[in-house]
Amino acid sequence: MKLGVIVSLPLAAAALQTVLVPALGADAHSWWAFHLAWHGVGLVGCFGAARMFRPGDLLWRAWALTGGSFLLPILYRFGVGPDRTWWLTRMPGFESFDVVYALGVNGCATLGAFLFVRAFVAAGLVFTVSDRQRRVAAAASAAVALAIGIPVLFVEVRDALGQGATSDALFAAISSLGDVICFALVAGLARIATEFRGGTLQFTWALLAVANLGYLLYDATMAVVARIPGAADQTILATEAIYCAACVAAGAAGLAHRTALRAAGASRTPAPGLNAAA
Amino acid sequence: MPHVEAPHPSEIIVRELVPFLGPNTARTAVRTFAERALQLRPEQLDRESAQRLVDALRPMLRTILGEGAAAAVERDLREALR
Repeated sequence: MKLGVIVSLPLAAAALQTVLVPALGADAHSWWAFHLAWHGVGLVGCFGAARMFRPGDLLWRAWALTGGSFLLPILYRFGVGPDRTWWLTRMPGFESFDVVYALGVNGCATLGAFLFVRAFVAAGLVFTVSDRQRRVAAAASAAVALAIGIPVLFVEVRDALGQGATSDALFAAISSLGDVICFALVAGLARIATEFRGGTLQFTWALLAVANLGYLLYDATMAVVARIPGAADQTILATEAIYCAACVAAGAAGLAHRTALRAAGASRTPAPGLNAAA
Repeated sequence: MPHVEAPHPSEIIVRELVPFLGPNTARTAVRTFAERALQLRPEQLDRESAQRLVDALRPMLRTILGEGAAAAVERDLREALR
């Protein structure tokens, strides 16, 4: 697949969902199916990229963890079903499991994003901007993440404490905390994309930055509209379009990496031994 | 016949890395690894030291590209430096 097509996938998916949902009916079954589809795109993209590396390689771990953050929601959705009435919801201790699930998904996503930022330096590459400029960019990103995420997190933690430790609010609070940390890493991902500008690897890191930004915007938007009567229904197409684009951006990042590695690996020089065998 | 100067070894390596790393990072990588591994500036590289620079670049290539693509890029680098 061409990189230009891959880069346009998040917007194309969001547009497709925005057109199809009103036609199909914006009910729990539609959202269940669409979430499943976008997580599937994320999973395929991330695990496809992981397969280009040896198990244990730093970027194999990064892709496997990010892919895990899509695999878990897919398994979860097949457990709970569109109306949260399927077999998993009838298991004893389901509410505790819900919280463990939220920790697992956000732990995978956060650690994966951290490893993508770490890969540049671990490879021995150096940033062309000064350390000071890099720290300023990282601090600005962290400040924006906290400015957006902390008020949301505060409200959700307050609700969680009010509703008991295994409530939906605790689930949402864990999700927001994970997104705040991921967003704080966005500056690093964007910085690396800038360092790779003009090269095929820029698309991978740029799409990862877009995905992490999307998750935080989605959580922040959901937290705000949930407190305005009637707003959730009016804005659901827009908020779900953000979530769709973020999931597909992560999958597209994997596809972009796979495409870039295939192009780099298409050596013009035959491997040793091939000439002898011919 | 006009005299055509052969590209400098450092330029050959940069040219091979540009398609995936981009021009900035390709150039910075050559400079950084040449100074770090060989204590040479890029313009001081000759064909023999450039081959040693390719050895030094191998872990970076494997980290970013994975073993398969890194091996292919390394082969192309060595071939281009001949």
